[in-house]
Amino acid sequence: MARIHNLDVGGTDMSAFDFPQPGTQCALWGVNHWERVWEEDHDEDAPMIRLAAAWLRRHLPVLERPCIVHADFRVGNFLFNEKDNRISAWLDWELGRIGDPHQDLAYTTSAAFGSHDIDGSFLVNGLMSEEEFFAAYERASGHRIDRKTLHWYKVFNAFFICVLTLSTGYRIARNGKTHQDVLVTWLIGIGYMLMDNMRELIEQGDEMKPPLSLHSLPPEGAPVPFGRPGGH
Amino acid sequence: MQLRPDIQIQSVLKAMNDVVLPALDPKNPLAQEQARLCMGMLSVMAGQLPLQFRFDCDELTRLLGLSNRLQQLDEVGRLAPQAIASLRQDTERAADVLARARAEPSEVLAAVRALRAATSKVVRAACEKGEASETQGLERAVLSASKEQLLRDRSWVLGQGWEADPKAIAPIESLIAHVSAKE
Repeated sequence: MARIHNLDVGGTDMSAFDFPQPGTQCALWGVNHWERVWEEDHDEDAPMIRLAAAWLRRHLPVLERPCIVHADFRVGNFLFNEKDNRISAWLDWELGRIGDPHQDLAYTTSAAFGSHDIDGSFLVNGLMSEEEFFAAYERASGHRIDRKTLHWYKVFNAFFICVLTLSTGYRIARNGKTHQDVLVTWLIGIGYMLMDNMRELIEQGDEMKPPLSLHSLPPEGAPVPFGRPGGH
Repeated sequence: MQLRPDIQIQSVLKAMNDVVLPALDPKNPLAQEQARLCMGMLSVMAGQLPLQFRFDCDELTRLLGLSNRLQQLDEVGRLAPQAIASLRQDTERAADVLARARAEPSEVLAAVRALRAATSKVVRAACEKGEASETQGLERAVLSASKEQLLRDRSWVLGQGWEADPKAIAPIESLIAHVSAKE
């Protein structure tokens, strides 16, 4: 993640992407984009979604370091070489953008993609504690993580995943658009827990303690949002 | 609540038709037949579910008519006095139930969606126009109402297995029990 975030976006041909101006434009674009998706796809409106959009707009973080954001960065979205166990490619770039590295950091440390060790401590992607993960990132990237911006992106990520599951997922299945309609319909169910998580994060305000209710994966065998190891 | 029988049945039927049925062993006639029966049953359910409540209310209306007619017949009262007394009691209970079953489920759902849309519009408009200090009351009200509703939503889909601690979520029957409780 640190290597991707440290790529020189100005020195690479990224002309297909929109480059946000310094300031809060990057964060605002994200909120506007996903609220627009909600507007087009939802069948049943939710006051909590509208409140979240307003909260996000009122607390827009300043973009300090534009970089390539993967936006679905987690275990299960990479290939690796069996001979040396080194990652050889990152997959699923369809949500990629030029944005704030805190978006990936908040996403990867989401409770939805982690698990607990035998002592009940939360492990980022089932690998290490959040503190260890952030310290390793800061060492590898040479950049400090802003906890307030991180919190904003946790709310933002919950917001866009709610939009995807509860409005876009519903619209896809309703219109019979894919060979995975039954999976997309199944995933609508997780949207309510995610929205409750978002509500808790907003109520926490600037506190950094993550809510307890989302600190584990769904049970083994249950579908996980946005594909699983092995692809869609 | 988006996860409702209409979209659930539709997506299950599509998966059965597009993916599961073509993969079934053509030399296994029992599996072929029962897969098609499952799909047929689901199709019938999809058609019946929206009308189920109306069907039951209609039947209850006509049963009340038959019951009242039987109670007026002297010979029935003479031939089956205990049974007709019991029928009278059940008829009173049934009439009370029918009197309380006023709106159809589709009307209730339409009203839910209309209020969701209207309250969402208020939140959006107020937050766009007002300063944070002006909308604190609105925010507290929405957060509080959402907490209550999302608890019920999470309980409603508990069977899907998303919750890390399912026992921490009250069963949906207890959370919505007050709706059917008589005043």
